[in-house]
Amino acid sequence: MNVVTVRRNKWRALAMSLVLPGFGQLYNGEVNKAIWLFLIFLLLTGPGIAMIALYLPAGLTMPVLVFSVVASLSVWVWGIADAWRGARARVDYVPAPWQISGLYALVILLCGFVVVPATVDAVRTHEVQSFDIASGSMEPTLLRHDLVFADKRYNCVGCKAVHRGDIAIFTYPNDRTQIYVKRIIGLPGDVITIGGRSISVNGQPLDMGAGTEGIDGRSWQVQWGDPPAAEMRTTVPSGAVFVLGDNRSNSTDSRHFGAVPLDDVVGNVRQIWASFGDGGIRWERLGMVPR
Amino acid sequence: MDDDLDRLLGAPLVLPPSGFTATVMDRIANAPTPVRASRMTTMLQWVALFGIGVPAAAELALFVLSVWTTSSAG
Repeated sequence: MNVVTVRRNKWRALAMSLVLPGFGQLYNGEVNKAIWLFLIFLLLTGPGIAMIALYLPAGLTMPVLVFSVVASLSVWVWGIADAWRGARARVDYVPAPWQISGLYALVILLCGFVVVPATVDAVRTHEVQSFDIASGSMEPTLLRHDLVFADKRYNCVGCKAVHRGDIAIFTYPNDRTQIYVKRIIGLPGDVITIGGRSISVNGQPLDMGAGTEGIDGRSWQVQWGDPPAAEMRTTVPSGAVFVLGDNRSNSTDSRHFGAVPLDDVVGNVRQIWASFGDGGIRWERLGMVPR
Repeated sequence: MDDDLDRLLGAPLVLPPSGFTATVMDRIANAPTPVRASRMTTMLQWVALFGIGVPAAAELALFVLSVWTTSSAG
């Protein structure tokens, strides 16, 4: 039988691996290696590492996610080099019947334009998402242009429950295109009383002195300016939470737009991973875990 | 049984038809060579690879950095 052998094109293998980890190996006929390389890259980059980061203490979120970037880039680069070497070694290669351009196109469309975007979306929706704090309403806890990681495994079935004192990310009820970040002060059924600079939850004052507030064993810094907050007394409806900004005189929060439906609470601030002020990067805030 | 064998052994050897060697060599020489992609096809394959590949590689880079891509929260 006449067997047609060809030389694999090392540049094509390199280009294909650059496009998708494992794609160059597929071109070289190493199907098993191609599948594992793609899966390892996918898990290292997205869901696997993000999930590990969420189970570790909040302070380790950034280092673990930095490791994720380094590891996935390493797998990507290794895959490119391996595909190059593999193609160079295949001088008398017998192409398998399935090695046709249509199949390659299908693989790249499926993996590159369906699997990868779906994984990105799943990670950002259900695991970790990064936010740029756009206002000073949470000062002194969060400054304008702090970049934070938020835990998206929050306030859902099987996820971390909502507690008083949590810094929550939620959809702004009056404009659902906007995302707000505030501190949860009251849970469903709580009676919130605000009088001047004094806030109490179910009759328990939050003020601990020296600009500190606290409840349920947690404490945080707040800042008040002028004018003092208007007086109000409200009961948090069921299925909703009462939120306030730590910058009490410069925050639009539940005092203005009412309680926030729990369904709109989508994340919990975990760690600051970068911070930019007028003078450049605020290095001292990197890695800080806001309380 | 023995008669059959004797007859077979006594028969003349099977000879190839005349011109057999020339026919075989002629057919080998005229056998179709493996089709190689034309220069244009090869070029189009590279264009297709980069046409899909560049956005795919960019998307892959965005994927690696996806958890670091920020949304605004006020």
